[in-house]
Amino acid sequence: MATKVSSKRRLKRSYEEELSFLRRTAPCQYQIDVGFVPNMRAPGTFFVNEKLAPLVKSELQRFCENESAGGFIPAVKQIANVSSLPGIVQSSIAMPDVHSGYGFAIGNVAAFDMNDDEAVVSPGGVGFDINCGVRLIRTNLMEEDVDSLKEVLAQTLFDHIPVGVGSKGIIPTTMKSLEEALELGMDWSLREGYAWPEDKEHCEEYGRMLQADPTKVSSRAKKRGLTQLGTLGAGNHYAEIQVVDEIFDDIAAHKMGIGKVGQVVIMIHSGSRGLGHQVATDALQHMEKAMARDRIKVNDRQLACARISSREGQDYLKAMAAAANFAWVNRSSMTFLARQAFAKVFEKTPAELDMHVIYDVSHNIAKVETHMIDGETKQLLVHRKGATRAFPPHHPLIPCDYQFTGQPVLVGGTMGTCSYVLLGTERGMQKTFGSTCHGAGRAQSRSACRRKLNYEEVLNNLKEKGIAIRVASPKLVTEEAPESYKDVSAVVDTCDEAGISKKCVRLRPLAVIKG
Amino acid sequence: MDCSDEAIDLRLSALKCPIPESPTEDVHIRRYPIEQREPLRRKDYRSGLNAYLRLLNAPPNAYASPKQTRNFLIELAINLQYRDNATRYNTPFDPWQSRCLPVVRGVSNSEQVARALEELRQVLQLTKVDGVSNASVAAAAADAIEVLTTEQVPLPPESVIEKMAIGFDTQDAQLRNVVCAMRLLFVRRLRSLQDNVNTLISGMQAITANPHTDSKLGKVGR
Amino acid sequence: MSSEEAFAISWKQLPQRDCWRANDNLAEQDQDTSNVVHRKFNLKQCENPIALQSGGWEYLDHTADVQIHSWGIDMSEAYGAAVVAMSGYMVELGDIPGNLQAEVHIQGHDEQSLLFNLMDECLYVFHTEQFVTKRVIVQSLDTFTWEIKATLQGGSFDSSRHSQGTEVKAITYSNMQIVKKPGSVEAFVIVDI
Repeated sequence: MATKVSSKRRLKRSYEEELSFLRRTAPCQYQIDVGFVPNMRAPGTFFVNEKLAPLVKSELQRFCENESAGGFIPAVKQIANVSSLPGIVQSSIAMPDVHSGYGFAIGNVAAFDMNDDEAVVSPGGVGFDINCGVRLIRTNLMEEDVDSLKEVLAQTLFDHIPVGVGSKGIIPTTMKSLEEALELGMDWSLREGYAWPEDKEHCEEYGRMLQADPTKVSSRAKKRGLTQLGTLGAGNHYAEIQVVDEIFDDIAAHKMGIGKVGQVVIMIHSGSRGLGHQVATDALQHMEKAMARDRIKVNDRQLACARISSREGQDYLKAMAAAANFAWVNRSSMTFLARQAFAKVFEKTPAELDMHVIYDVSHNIAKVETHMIDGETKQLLVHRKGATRAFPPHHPLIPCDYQFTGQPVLVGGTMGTCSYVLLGTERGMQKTFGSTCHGAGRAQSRSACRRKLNYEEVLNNLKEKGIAIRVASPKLVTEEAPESYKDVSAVVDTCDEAGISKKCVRLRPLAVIKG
Repeated sequence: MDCSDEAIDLRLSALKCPIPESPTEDVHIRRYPIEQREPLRRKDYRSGLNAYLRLLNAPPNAYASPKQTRNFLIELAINLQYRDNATRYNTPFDPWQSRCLPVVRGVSNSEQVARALEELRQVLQLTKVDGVSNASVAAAAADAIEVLTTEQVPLPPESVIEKMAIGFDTQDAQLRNVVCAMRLLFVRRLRSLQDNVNTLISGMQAITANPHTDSKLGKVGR
Repeated sequence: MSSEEAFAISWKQLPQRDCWRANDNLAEQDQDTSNVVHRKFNLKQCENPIALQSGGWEYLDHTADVQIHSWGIDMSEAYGAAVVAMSGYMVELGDIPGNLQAEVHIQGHDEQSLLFNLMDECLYVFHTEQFVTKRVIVQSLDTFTWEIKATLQGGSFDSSRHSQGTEVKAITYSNMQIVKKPGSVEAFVIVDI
């Protein structure tokens, strides 16, 4: 049975002693030395700048000084715990937006050697919201065209896309079509006519993971997903109408079709809803049992994992792929609904409005990729939880249109703050297995926000910035307020400085739809 | 082939097949274990047929008429048939495998070419990639040389070429130009391939697409 | 082709495909590995107005998610309070009517997995049946076989009429603790938002 985390097992080090294990190795890069937690097989790495470093350290400090029963493991400890998993290659890596999560920190990237029999796969390294990701759709509208219609557009989008707790989709789905969607991913959306062929071209994995197997998804998960196709969900998911605020790389921006400041785009941030959550929960339960059988010891019970080659490992990867497919179908469905909404308001077809998908990225997923380690090519299972793939120019897996620019990376800000489009770099490929940040990362707890912030104040702040907003839940508004998140600009700047991705475009929100 | 509704009905009642040459349940679909297929073979097969369709998760229109039932069963049979041979259909096609004797600058001996390529690889310190034979590389090189010497490559302005990422560092300006040209050519071909794929998909969508929503199913707006 | 000819054709009958066999077994398999002994969730009318859930609960600080801290005089009360705490985060409990109830029978392999499975089942019925659990009446809690039999009382959530909070995606084992003291039991569970 895996060891249970408890405050009694914590090494009684002082905060200063713990800090001595964290060493700055480059302007924005820190190393976590072996020994920070027991059984580390590799060091840990995290990227933060001066602005973000204190947040990471204060989390550690609170942990060191807090003796009460309810508490949580700080991100730096979690990064180190991941480094102690069998089969880990090079280092457990964390992005600037890192914060404490379930087993793995959110913002953690970890790669495992597919050729190592001991290597493991962990659902905690993917997250509960499998294939939570972001899609960016362009339009040929400019801010002036949209300004007077902001409220109408926000309302129309809200009327087309179901959001909120217990929301149900309006795209008719039977169990059979759900199974097909799980297997075919975006190809299902194409077949049914909800997506354009160009959408598939501009999607990570081309919108479909081929190893998906719907029979590995439990009927419980399917029941949860059945009514949720094409819904936004709640929590930190949103749909935003944004405008290009600043362009850092003209050529790349032009390649994406958003080369003009003031151009209007739509960003959708959503995942695999209840289906993905249930797949992750089911897998964690099966793997707990498998760990006892295969004698896998981990520092933290939440790091439930299984050997990649074991039945549980393989089943999880197939079920995860099916859930990922569901999320792509979900985002494709919402793209369809958003296109309809805009077409209605502007009385033009979506094609006339040039509503093409720029790209669709995933920031909670595990993939088998080929990477260069010490001059050799290796097949690695790369877990990205709260981190986005960022492949460099000329990588065979990125679309034809972006071969010269590198893969676009969509980084969503939070409600009311800026979002970014970044580009993958060669340096990122070497340092972080081609990964970069995913968003802002939380700074304050949800309960603290509910207590301290007033929902009307938050809404008024947004109105003052000229942002139209439609929400299903007032309580969520306070939890999701910009003040509760880290500064996304600092996160993006850190990635830029560290060279793991490059800034391309900054986007500013005009309207927000939230669950 | 007799496709009248009556003939179809007869064949279904025999349950052997809707089309004489391709028996479906017995050979393709095989939903039931052999011993449970009897109800579908009887003359009063209709009630057994509905239970059968339900087990196959048939859509509502499959129950509407014998013709639609037949269409559904054929579609399912084709699907399953495809899956049986999926590895064969999905094996990536290596266009270079079929070339036996790559001709590079008049050299017809592929072993010599392979050795020369290996030397070149070591000098350039390039990593050997698994699963790609020397013969493939030699054939690809031959193709590239042919294209470069015959196709017209419209180069973008100097300023763009300078900034263009080529994927590795080199100080040699001439090599850089060649690489840029090859990258451009490759991407152009890729683009045309992608366009063909998109056209194919559009063609399929013309037949299969039926996007619709039902606002009674969920709740939108307020 | 005549009907005689159609009937006269013969060919080899091939055995049932593996995928159908797997499908037929899946339903059984789900039953075998499930942690809920009785699969069917039967909602019935509740005759009497339901009382408030006993015990207590609060929501503790956690950066990205929410930590539920519940307590009661014994394990049953603490577990029930944890479930209602979860419901209370997703909806406004006061809005929901209290006119339905159902029986559940949950299985675990230790005290943590029992709490986990109980909360997971209540979350599942919320998402699939829109049933909000407002009170948990534990009929029996067996700490040898780790089984719990309970009556869930509550009502239906209607998103067009009832205000909403934040959706809980999943229960986690993250820092889960069940603290037993003389005269009280406390539970700490982090739920994923």
